[in-house]
Amino acid sequence: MATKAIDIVKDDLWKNNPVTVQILGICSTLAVTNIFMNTLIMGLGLTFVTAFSALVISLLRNIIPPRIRMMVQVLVISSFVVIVDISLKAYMPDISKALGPYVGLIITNCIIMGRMEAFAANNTPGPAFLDGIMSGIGYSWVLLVIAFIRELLGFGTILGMPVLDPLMRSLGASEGWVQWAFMIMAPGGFFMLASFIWIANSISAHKLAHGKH
Amino acid sequence: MKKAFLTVLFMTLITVVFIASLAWVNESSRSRIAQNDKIFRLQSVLYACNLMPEGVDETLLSPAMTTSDLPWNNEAILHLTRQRIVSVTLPITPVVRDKLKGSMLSLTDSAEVQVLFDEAGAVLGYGFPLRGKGLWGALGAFAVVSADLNTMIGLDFTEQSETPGLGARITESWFKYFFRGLKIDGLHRPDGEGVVMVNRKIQSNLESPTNSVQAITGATQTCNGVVNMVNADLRFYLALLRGNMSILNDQFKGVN
Repeated sequence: MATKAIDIVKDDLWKNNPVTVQILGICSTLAVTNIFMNTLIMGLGLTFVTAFSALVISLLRNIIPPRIRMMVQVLVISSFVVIVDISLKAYMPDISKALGPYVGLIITNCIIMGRMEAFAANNTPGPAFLDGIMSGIGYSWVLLVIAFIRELLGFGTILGMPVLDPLMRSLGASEGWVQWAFMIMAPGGFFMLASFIWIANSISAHKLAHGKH
Repeated sequence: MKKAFLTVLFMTLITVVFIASLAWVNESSRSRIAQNDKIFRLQSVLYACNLMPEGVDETLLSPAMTTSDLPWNNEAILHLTRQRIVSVTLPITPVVRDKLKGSMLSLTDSAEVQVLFDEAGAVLGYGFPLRGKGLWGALGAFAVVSADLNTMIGLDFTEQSETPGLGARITESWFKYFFRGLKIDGLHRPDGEGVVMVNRKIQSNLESPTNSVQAITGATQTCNGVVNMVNADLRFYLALLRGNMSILNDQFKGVN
């Protein structure tokens, strides 16, 4: 049991990471990663939806008729997404407005459907719930790294606080930090994501070549 | 046959369970969401009216600050709105309707505008909503013009889905500051020059009034959308206000 849990954690966070290895959830990766806080909330929302959808699907796995299993999965996933959307509108209206349609689009995130089909539908609730959480975290940490770099170079800020501008001025640059508009736009997201996947896969290949797993 | 029936029954039951749960979540948070929406809208109205929270000087705000960053509390928002703003419904007469051709206003019999008063009760200006199109979706704003209809008191965006960091910067205080004191007298004439965007504005319109505002680098489509929205809707609302000025003067004469 413990070994299985460790395998799930390792798989979702690195070896079989949904973003870097399975190349899933790319739309939102490109769309929300120019501001760190938006990315964090998106990641938390997706983790919540994946974990609880996996739990429900796993609990119902023996009674769902096979021919309608995907309809049930979509129903469960969309219900949890609507709960996240309503909760953000009620308790975090600023972030809800900033994320706009992307919260609703969690429904179409391939990671969730993929985990329901590949894992939750065939496993007991405990491992399915853990897999949901770890898949969400596996997606989120990649996005957060990308968001950190994009926000830092694009706006010169970390979590909205100016960092590079005062730094550059203290180093004698009178114009302060010149924002990299490219990093804020979608091409900057493509560039960062591709670079991240390249680095992550190079590390994995290096480990494999040297017999480390 | 029995299997198919059970499948349909299962799907129906599970759908009912989940929809009922969502209905409960929606119902239990509906009033809170409605209150949030109302506060957001009122914050924008107050910002456009140049009414700030106590102790806040707009010129000292961080340029990237947005309306929701202002240190308001809900009670103060509601109190100030009740004290300084009155909603009036203006009739759209056939004469006025002729000047509103091409706008949604021409399809209605009346339109609502907000009247802004100063602390002594004198009319300072009139506010109304604007609608337009940005790069990615609809733009919504609330604009307030001076009582003589020649200057803009302020403008705030109530709806936008522009690119974060580029077009979405229209919500930042530095951009909106250029709408304060903006000359809009050209919009009274069909051939008059409306509001224009320029690449570099040295002085604000409060310091040196012009009909231009500062554009955002890298957000040309959004800036064009803002200018088109302001010029089109302001022309209509200014025509509406001019056509109803006698009604407004009569209604608020006692207040002055």
